[in-house]
Amino acid sequence: MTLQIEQLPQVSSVNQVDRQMVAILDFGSQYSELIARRIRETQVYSEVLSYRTSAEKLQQLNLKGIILSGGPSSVYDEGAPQCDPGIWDLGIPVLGVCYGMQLMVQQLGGGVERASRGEYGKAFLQIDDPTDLLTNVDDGTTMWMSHGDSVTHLPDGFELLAHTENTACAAIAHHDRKLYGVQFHPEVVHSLGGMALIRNFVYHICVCDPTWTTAAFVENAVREIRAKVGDKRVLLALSGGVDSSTLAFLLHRAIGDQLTCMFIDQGFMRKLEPERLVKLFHEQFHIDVQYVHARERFLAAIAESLILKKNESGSVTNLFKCLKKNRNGWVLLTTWRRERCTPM
Amino acid sequence: MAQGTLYPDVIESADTNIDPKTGERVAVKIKSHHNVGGLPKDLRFKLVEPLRKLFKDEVRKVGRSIGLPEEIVNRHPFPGPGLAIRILGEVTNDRLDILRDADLIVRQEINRSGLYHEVWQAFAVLLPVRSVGVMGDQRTYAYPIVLRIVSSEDGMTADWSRVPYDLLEVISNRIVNEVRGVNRVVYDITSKPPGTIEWE
Repeated sequence: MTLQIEQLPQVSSVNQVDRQMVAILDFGSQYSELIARRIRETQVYSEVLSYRTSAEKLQQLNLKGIILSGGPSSVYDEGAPQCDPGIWDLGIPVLGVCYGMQLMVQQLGGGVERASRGEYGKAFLQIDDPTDLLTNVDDGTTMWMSHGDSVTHLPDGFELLAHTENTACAAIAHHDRKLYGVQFHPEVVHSLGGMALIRNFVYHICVCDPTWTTAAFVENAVREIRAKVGDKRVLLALSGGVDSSTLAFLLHRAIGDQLTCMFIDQGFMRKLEPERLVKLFHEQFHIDVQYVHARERFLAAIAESLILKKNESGSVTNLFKCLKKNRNGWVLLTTWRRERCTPM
Repeated sequence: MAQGTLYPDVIESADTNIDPKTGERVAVKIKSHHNVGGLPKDLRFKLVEPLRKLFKDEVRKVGRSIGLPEEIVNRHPFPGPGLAIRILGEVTNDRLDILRDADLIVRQEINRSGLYHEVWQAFAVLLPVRSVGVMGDQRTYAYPIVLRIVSSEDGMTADWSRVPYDLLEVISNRIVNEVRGVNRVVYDITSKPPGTIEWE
C-alpha cells in the first residue's frame, strides 16, 4: 500500500514550460477524469494529479489553473484527504467542485455541515451574481448535484454566486484571489450549463488559450518520439485496434523504417480480421507487419495456467522474450521454451 | 517497445479511490490486460508510450488526423484477451473455432443491417454447457451462443440494444444452421449496470 501511494503522480510529466495546463487534484471522485476531459474539450491541456501534490510542486508546474475534484469523504471526518493549504496563496485560480469546494471553505475558515437534506440529481441553479464564473450560464439552468454535506457559512471575502432550492451556497467566489467553488458537478452531461461554466473558468479566469489541438499533439509527439528513439529501433505489437493502429501511424510518421510492427496471432482474434489487417497495413498504408503464428503456443500456455486469460498481454510480453534482434529488426527465436510462456 | 497505453490506464493504475472511512487511498486493481506497471525486468526493452496522456476519444482524433481510415477509427471495442474471454470455462481449439464462426455471422449481419455504427458492441459468447435440441429427426446436445448487442455512449453504462426481431432471427438461424456444435442462440437483455458488457 505504501508503495502504491508513493507511485502516485505528484508531478506532471509535462516538461515543456510553454504548455498551458490546468491540473485536477483528485480526491477520489469518480468524475475526476471527466473533469480533465472537459477541460481538454476546451483545447486546454489538463492532467489529474494526486491531492497530496504539494503547493511547491504545483507552482513548479507553472499551472494556469487548479481544479479540486469531488470525493466520497466528508471534510470534517478524521483523516479526510486535505490539499496543501499553500495552494490558496499561489496566485493560481482554483475551482473547487463539491468536496473540493467544501475543502476550500473549511480550510479558509468557513463552515461545512451535514445537510438536513442531501441533494442528488437535477437541481435548478438560481444565479445571484452572473459575473465571471457564471457568465453565459442561464438563470434556472439544470445542474447535477450529489452531496450530503453543505457549506453553511462562507470564509471572509467570499461571495455567493448562486443557490438552489436545497443548497444555499451552490456557487461561491473570492473574486480578488480567484478562488471559486461549486457544489454541483459542471463536468457531467446532465449539467446543462456546465460547459459554459468550465469555459469561463478556463478562458476568462485562468486566461488559457485553446492551443491543445490534435495537430499540436501530433507535431509534439513526433518530435518527442524522434528524440527518445534516436537511431534505435522500435517494436510494436499491433492488434489492429484503434490504439495500436494510431500508434503505428504515429511511429511510422516519426521514425519510418525504424519501426517494426508485429501482429501476434494468439488464436483469440476474430475470424478474417488478422488477414485483413496485415493486408490493409501492407497494401494501403505501406507499413510492413510481421505475422507471428502463435496459436498453439498460447493455447498450450492456457492449458498450463488459466491465469493467462487474465494476463494475456503479459504473455505477449513473454513471447517477446523470445525475440532476437538482427540487423534488419527482430526475428522470433525458433526455439520456444515452454517455461517461458508461463504467464507473469 | 511501443505500447498503446492510454491516460485512463495510467490514472487507474496510479489508483484513484479513497477509502471513505480512513481517507487513505485504496489501490485500485490494475486492469489485467494492461502492462501499465512497466515491463518485466528481464525484458531488455525501453518503453515508448506516446499516447500515454490521451483519452480514447483523443486517440481517435489523432488517428483520424494522421490518416487512419474510419474502418479502424470507428471499430467496436475489442478486449485485449480477445475471444478467450468470450468463452466461459476452458478455452479449447474447438470452442474457439465455434465462437469465431458464430462471431463472424454476428458481425456480417450487423454490418448488413446498417446498425454497426448505431451500436457500441455486437458479439457472441460461448457458454460451456450443452442443452438439448432437435435438428432434422436428430436429437442434438450442443452449446448455446449468447448474442450480446449493446448501446452505449462511453462504455461506462450500457443498455441492451433493441434491434429488430428480424435481425435476431437471421442471426439465430444462420448460427444454428452454419455453425456446427451450436443448437441454440439466446439474446442477453441485461443492462450495465448491473451487468457488464463482456461476460468475463
